[in-house]
Amino acid sequence: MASSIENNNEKLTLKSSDGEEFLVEKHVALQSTLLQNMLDSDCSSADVIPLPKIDARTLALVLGYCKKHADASSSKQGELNSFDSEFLKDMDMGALFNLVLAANFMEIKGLLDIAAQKIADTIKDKPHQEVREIFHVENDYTPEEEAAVREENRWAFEGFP
Amino acid sequence: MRIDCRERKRVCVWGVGRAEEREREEEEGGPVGWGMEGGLAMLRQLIGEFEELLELYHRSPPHSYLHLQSHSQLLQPPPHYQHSTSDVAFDFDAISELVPHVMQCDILQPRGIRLCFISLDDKPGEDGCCNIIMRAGKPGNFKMVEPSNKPPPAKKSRKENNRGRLPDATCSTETMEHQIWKEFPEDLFEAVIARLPVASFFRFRSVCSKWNSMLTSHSFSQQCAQLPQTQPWFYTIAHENVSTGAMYDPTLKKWHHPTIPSLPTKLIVLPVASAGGLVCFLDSGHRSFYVCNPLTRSFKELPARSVKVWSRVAVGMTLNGESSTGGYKILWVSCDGEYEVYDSMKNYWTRPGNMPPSITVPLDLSFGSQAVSIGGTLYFMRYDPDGIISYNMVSGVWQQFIIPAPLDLSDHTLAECGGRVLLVGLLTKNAATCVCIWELQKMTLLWTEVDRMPNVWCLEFYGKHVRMTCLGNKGLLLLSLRSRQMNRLVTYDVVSREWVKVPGSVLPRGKKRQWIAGGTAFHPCLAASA
Repeated sequence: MASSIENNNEKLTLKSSDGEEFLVEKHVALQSTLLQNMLDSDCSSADVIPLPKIDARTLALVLGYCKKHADASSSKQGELNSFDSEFLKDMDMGALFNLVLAANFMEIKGLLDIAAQKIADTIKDKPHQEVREIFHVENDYTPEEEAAVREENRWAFEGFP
Repeated sequence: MRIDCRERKRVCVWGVGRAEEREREEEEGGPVGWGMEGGLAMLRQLIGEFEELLELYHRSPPHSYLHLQSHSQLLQPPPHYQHSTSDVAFDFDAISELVPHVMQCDILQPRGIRLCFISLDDKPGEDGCCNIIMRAGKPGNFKMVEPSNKPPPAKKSRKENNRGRLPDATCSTETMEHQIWKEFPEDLFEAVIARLPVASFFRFRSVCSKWNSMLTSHSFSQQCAQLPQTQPWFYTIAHENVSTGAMYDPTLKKWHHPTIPSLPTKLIVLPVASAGGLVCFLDSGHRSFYVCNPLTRSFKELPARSVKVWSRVAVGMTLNGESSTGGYKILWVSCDGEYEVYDSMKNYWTRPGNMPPSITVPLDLSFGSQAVSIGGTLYFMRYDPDGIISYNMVSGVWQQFIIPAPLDLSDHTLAECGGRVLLVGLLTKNAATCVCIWELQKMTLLWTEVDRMPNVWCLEFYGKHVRMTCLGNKGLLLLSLRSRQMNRLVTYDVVSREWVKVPGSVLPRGKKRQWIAGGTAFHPCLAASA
């Protein structure tokens, strides 16, 4: 039924890392600065644009986001805001991680923003030691330095051990 | 039409399961336990059917996905779908908008995409059908319905297992898989950290020296500048302990207690104005001005004033540009009409001229009311005659507006929201006291009441002699209301017209009879430097 709808809009095909192809309307693809630059510089003469870093599951999500924003750009901002807040609501961290990488690679600023916010919301109440572990950040402080930094920001540690 | 039959059967079986569970819960007065032999057998059968069903959909063209979807809607709440090539489940509701686009509108046409589903995702609360699965099944059962060739990662199983044990816990999106985040790109850290709550940002300066130094990083400041401004915080000093400031974060409804080591401790230093994340303090002897960012300890004592006026002064502060990086100006004005302006870019006080004769001198200024700034203009409340005087920090022009004060008004202060000038005060009639908000009608120069505190809260004040201190004068106000045996803190959001009670204690060690003696609102700004 869906395939019977005639659509004259220009389309391009994106190929995910796991080999699945997605046919996308051009105005949807333009939400991505990467694709926009590719189209501008006419790199897209090839039939299929490979996105070797993005799997099909993530690409489907990314394109869902792009589709909503491309179609709604002239409509109500409130509707988009509620879409954005729902979009990542129940997403698990693995999917979110892939989405951030995809948004970063494809240069989709709005998606990167909401994903960064989601990550920030997830770590905000964790102890700093745990944040260090999560991101595998090396603690380059001496114990004295760490104590000094903590003392300087003591007000922010109220309620934390 | 085998699919349909199976679908109905599935619904039926699940329906029974849910009803059974409810009954059991009612009988036992608690959730169903693990030891359900019969239920387990039923579930195994169910899972077997599930697998067959998956097989079917595996081979089906995408449109049957929609077919399934319509049937699935018989199940309440709707199940969650999962793509075969991923170990990641996601909420159906969240993508319900995009899935029809993907499948129906011919906009995204996944060619040969293998779609299948799983409805065993965690969902808290009343999602009875899922809970039965979660409780009775071992983690291994999840693998049975995973159509992927890839086995799900062990971590996922562990997570599911945990959820199985704690089926009533809310959906834990908080769990972060440590191994994945190891690969998180360096250049994205700033975007994430800029979006942390202010207190978390300062706490995470302890993570490593790089996170610590972000405070002074140019690119990080740019990240922060792109974000919408948050609600203002309040810097307050309490009645019984003026040397300790307390900051209130209305977004998280939390008090913080910063230390500003450079502030003199022998003097009482009052916060009198703020702009761009910086707070201006004046000692109680009206001699020295100090400017600091209470978040970062960035601090500066302003040079001495050239005019020796030791009488009380009203103070206002404005930014030269959009942020404190463009510098700021501070104005003081005394009752006899003396005034000076400090410019941080020049780092000295100037006396731009004399007050025009149109301003009635002596000025009976309301020192309890902070100056309100709109654009580059400061507004001060005055008495006798009642009204407002304004000073444009750019053009240096003074103006006076005579505005009759509402009757029975006390403890009133000026406020501002989106260019509207407001008056906040206590209205007392007979024994009843109420907090009222008026707006200045610029054409008629009259105050018109626009809101008042809910009656149910005002009842507390009945028959009491109530005093009010109003902190903050932009968008969000913090009202400290007190009488002999009562001490209430309330915020009022001028835009949403919401009255919210403020929790907790102002002081670290909760003392009795503490109330706010003074303070100012400020926009928490990491980069603001004095």
